[in-house]
Amino acid sequence: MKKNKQKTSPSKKHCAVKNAYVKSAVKSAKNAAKHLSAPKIKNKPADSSSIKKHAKPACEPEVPNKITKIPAAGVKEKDREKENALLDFFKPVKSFLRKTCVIPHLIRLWAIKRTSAAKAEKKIDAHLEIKQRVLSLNPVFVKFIAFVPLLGGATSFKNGILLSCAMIINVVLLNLLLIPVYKFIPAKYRAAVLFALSGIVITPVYAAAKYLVPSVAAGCGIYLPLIAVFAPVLTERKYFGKPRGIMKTAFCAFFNGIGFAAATLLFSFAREIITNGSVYDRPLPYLASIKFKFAAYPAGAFILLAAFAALFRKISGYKGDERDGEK
Amino acid sequence: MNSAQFSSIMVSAILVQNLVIIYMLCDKNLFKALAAPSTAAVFGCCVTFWTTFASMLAWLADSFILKPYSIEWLSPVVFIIIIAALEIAAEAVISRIFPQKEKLAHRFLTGSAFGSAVFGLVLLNVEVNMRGFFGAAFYGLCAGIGYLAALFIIYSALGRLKFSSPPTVFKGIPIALVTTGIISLAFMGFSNISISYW
Repeated sequence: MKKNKQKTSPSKKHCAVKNAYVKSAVKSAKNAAKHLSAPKIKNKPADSSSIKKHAKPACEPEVPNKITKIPAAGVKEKDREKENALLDFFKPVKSFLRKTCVIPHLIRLWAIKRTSAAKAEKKIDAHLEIKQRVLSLNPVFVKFIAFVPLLGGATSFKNGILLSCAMIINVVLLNLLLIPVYKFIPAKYRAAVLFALSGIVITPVYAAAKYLVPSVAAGCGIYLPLIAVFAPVLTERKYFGKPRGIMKTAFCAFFNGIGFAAATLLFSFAREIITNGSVYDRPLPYLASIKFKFAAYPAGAFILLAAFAALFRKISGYKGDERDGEK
Repeated sequence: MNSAQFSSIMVSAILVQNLVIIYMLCDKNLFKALAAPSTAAVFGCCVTFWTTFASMLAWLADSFILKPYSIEWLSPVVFIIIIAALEIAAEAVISRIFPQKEKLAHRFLTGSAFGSAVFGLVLLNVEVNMRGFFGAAFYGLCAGIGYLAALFIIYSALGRLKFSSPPTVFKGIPIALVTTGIISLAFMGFSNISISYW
């Protein structure tokens, strides 16, 4: 049995099936045309002597090939003749269609196209699911894409809220900016242009944060503008140039940002409780006396991130990766 | 600037303010580069190159454009454009000199230039703008050397883990993060080291 089959895309399979049916239809049409043009000779006699044996006597009447219908009671002869005439008219057409089998092929092709399009749409809609992006495809704890702002900036819940908002705004605006421009960027310069566009988006966000919440922005330090480095990685380019692309792209980017936000808020919440025994600068009962400053340091941040990553892997049912040496 | 100032910058960039271990500017590309010592060395050298030249150009832009015209709020986009332009120029030069290695060079150059280390260092360098042009360039160079040293230390530590069997959920990047956290505990001992100069 072949275990490692190369999976072909549904569009390629569909094209292969379509081509096969079209070829067979053309072949059978050609054969049908040959049969229709040539006279039918069944049971060719081998010798002239056998012809004489099988020859019909001239006195016997000819038996007609078609079976005549028994006239139903009350049906007029003229109507019966009309019916027979119509049947006789459509008989060759019917036999041609039956032989070429075009209509069943066309119906089959239409059904395949409809089901594959429906399947493709279902796949697209499935990717917009927020649950996947928050849990099993979380960009921080599962994909390890954008964990640097968490490590350095998410030292308190307030910082976490600011980082989450900045990332969501940056990712959504970057995706929307990319839609008209993406096709015209050569592949060689795409990374540089994405980075530059992300910088253009983060600059007003950073300035607004410094103006509106200066203490929280100062607490985040260099990790707030560093969001510009990770926003291009969270962009979704699947729906560029497709119907309802703008809405789907915006929603996709928003849900990616929600995944980052969920991770940031969870991480900053846990980190503030462990470090200060408080949430949003408000001390919690019983926990305010238990402070473990280790979580505020880089070592604590690394270990806390690893713990959360392991927890999310356990929740999503991670069974190992080939790169880790296990299947 | 005298030799004592340069030594102080070197010690702070490599040990006290290490980009990877203290500032945590280590993204997924760093852990990918640790797959083999050759890739880690090439990646570290690329980062050193970017940190040096980006620091120089960023200091010039900050001193002659941003501060005189009071447009420091534009610093993120200006620094990002500087890094992107440097990357495109470097790629063009390398594709001319080594055309057969264009794809490999593109992967390494984009992965190292558009990571958190280079942009983070440029922002840090500008925050503490008391070093001057040569000070900023030397700080960038030493930060890159510190990045290489951190890569070497983490690679050695992860090499010992190959013979151990952590739980399945910790395999790969999580155990590398735990290792880096333990190494950063050791580096916290360097936190109060400074070389005084006058």
